[in-house]
Parts: sequence; structure tokens; C-alpha cells
Amino acid sequence: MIGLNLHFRKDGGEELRVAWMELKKGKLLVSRSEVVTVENIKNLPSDIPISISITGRGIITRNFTNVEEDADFLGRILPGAAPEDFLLQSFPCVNGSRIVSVMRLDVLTNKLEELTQNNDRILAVFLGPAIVGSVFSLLHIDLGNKGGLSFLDYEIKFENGSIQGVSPTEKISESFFVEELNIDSSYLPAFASGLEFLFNNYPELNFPPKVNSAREEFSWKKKFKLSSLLIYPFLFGALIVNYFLYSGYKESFGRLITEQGYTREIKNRADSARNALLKNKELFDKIGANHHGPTSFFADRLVSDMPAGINLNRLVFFPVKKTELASGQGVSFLKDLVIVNGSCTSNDALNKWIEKMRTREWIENVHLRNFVRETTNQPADFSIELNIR
Amino acid sequence: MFFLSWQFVFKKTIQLKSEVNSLLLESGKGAINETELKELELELITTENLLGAGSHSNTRQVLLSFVSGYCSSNNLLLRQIPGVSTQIENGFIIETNSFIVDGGFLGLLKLHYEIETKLKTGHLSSVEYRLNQNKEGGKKVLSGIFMLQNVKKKEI
Repeated sequence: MIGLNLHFRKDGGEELRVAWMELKKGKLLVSRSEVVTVENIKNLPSDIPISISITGRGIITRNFTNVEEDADFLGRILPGAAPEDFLLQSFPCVNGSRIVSVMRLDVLTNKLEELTQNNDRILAVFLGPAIVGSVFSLLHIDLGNKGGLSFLDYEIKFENGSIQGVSPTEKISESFFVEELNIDSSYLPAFASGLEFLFNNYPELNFPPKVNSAREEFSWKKKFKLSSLLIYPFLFGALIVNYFLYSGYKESFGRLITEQGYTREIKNRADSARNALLKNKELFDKIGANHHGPTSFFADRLVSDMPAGINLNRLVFFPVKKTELASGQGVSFLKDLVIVNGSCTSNDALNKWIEKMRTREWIENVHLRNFVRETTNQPADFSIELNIR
Repeated sequence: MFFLSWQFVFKKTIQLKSEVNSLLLESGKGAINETELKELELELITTENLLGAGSHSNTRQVLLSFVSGYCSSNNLLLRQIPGVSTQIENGFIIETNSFIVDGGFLGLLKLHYEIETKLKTGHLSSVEYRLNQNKEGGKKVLSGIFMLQNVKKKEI
């Protein structure tokens, strides 16, 4: 940060004084102060902001006591002057009084352009010597019993640490100390302009339009720089977290792929075992290995229950499927089926036998398929089908 | 910088995460543990053993020996042992052997019982008791037609 003072001498000459300063962790660091030329200012690094105070001839400065903040100062200083042609700055003082400084805007603008060659790095402009009062306490200047301070062509009176008034003087400049540096008081406006920019004690001050836009741009650049400074650590942190996450996922992925291969093998083995088991069960079914109890027992029961008057010709447990035999598909059997063929002299005996069959728990149902009696004196031929549970 | 970080770092992590999630989902589907697999394979071996239990190399001879022995001591007549019928199913050979025995009902019924309970060569698939007219003397004869099936593993 550079605090610059442009002083127009009474003889028409100009003096440029510069104060280099920096605010680090809330502490003001003053590096040096010196008299410079316009060329020196032009050659300064373009990224260093400049705050300038303008003093001397061409700046009208007046003290006003007991005035309203929004009083028509320009009308009182320069009656009939057009406000748009002037830059007016009003600094509050003790007991409601004000120090007002005025300068022609076109002269000011030309001068600023001459200094910076339109590169818009002048971020604050302060008119007159009153700016010194705003930072008086910051500079820790010991006035002793003097009650005032002379610099350039001005003398400022202080009361209880605040500015009381300003007046022209012929006194020479004095010395004061800032951060253990012995500095001539003629550098006060340069310091004050720099400090005022840093601490912004007078936020309501008017600036030329070009300076206002430069201030706004600087503010945005500062915010952007700050956010960039925050984003990089955030990105770095995110990359570190991502590294750990990625490593974790990669490990899980490898483990799952191995597990999946193993699981697939088990699943394939289980599927083939299931299929083979199903086929074997079909085979069991086909050969009748899944059949019910011993058929010899059923044959014995059927014949034991048979009443007198019935003769059996044929008793078949699970007959062969003739269609499959004929088509050469191998041998298979009609499961659960029992065929009983015979003859009877008494219908009643046959009926009783069938009723008896129905009571057997191993018989699911009984069907009389055929019953033929050719003549009254001859026995009747019958055919019964049973389904075994 | 952000684009590169996204494209080559964060995006890959997100893709890997979704792959891990899909693998986790997949591994849960139709999962079977080793115990279940062992149970299945044991059941398969049991059924194969059962199917192959009758895989005697000389079934007909065993059958002949068993039935003729029983017939001679029980006054039955082993009349016929027709040719064997074979079929192939699921890598197994199913043999169907049959034999016809003449005699009284009680004798045939006992033979029926013996075959079902004692004969280990094959499974009794069908039994028929039939009363036939004797061609020679016109006398009626009771025949028992027994059909047994046994399974052999097909030799590869």
C-alpha cells in the first residue's frame, strides 16, 4: 500500500511524497517514506494500490462550526458554483464543527491520470490537510504542550486527541516518530492517506467517479484472491480424503471380485447338483422306486377281502404303458394303478367286495370299469381299476 | 483445475463406488453357502448310489439263481425269462428284466414278497397274476409275471 501526498506549492511547483506501509495481522508496518517524482510513481508495480492526499494551492479548505452534516458547504465557499464541477469532502471535527475542502474536478482528474496513466490503481483521494486528524491517534504523535502540528503550509490544532481546526501557516515542518522511525511532519498527509484507506474512518467521503469504480474493482479482486486462497486448501483436503476413499473402495472392489468368482463357482456347482438331482428324481419316479408300500401286501389284502362267489382271472399292479412299448421308447409303467379282472356269480358279493376295498386306507379310489353278464345262468365278467395312495 | 480434479480423480472414485455397490448387490442375489452346497452334493451322491445300487454286472444270472432256487423249494415253475429291455436316461442305463412263474397263488404271493423285500437286484416295477388256459391239457394255470428294473451307470 502506498500513501501518496501531492502538494501544490504556493510558487506553482509540486511536491510528491510517498509513504510505504503494510497492514499485517492487524499491525501497521511502515517501511519507508521519501520524496518522489511523477516518473517514480508511474514506474511503481501496477498491483500496488495508491491512496492519495492532495494539499496546497488549488484546494480550498474552510472551518465550519455548528453546522449540519448536509449543509450547502459548496454554496458557502463558492457561491453559485456547479456541484458537478467540484469534489467536496467534509471531515467532522470536535463539537460538531467541520473542515471542508473543495477542488475542481477536472483539474483533479487530469492530475490523477497524469500520475497513473489511466491504470486505475488510485483507490482513494483525500482533499486538504484534515485527513491528518483522522489518523492522529494511530500515529501516536506526542504533541507535548504545543496543542498543534505544522506541516507543509498548514497548522492543525488538536483538542483531546481530535482535530479542532486547520489554518495556514508559515512554520516549517516538524519531526515525529512512527514505529520508531523519525519522520518529518511534511510526510503526515502521505501517511494519513495510506492509513485512512486501510482503516476507512470516513466511509461517507466523496471520491471522483473513476476512483469509485477502481475501488469497487479492487474490492472484487481482493475477494476473489481471498476465495482462491481458501479454495486451494479445500481442494487439497478433498483430494486427500478422496485418496483414502479411493483406496478403500479399490480394496473392497478387489475383495468382492475374488469373492464373486468363488461364489459363482459355488453357485455353478450348486446349479449342476440341483439339475442332476432333479434328473435322478425323475429317474427314480420312472422306475417306480418312489412307490408306496409292498405290493405283495396289497395283493394279499385284496384276495383276503374277496368274498365267495368271485373268481379272479387277472390282477395287475402297475401295468406296462403299451403305447411306449409299441413306439420303442423303453418300458414304463402306469404308476399307482391296479387292474382286477374276474367273474362273479353274485352281484351282491362283487358289490360288497368293492365296498370293502373303499374302506382300505391304502386305496385312494375304486372304479368298476366293466361288468358283463351274457346270460342269467352264467357268471358275469367284471373289470375293476384301483388307484393306490 | 476443478475440471481436471473432477474428471480424473473424483469422478473415478464415484464410478468405483457405484461398481462396489453393484457388486455388493450382486453378491447378495442367489447366494449359497458352502454348507448348503455340501448338503446338495451329498443328496446327489446318495441318489446316485441308490440308482446305481443294482448295477450288478450279471443281473439276469442273479435273478435266475434267486427265482429258480425259490421255485424249486416252493413247488413253482419258472416258465420263462424273456430278453432284457434297456433304455438310456440321464447317463444311466435302465434295464427291465421280466420272468414268468407258474404255480399256486400263495406260492406266487410269497415269491412276490421275497422279491420285494429280499432281492437287492433291481426294483419290482410291475406284477401281474394271470389265469391262463393250459395249451396242452386245457387245465387253467396261474402265472405270475414279474417285471424288475435296475439302473446302471453308463460307462463312458
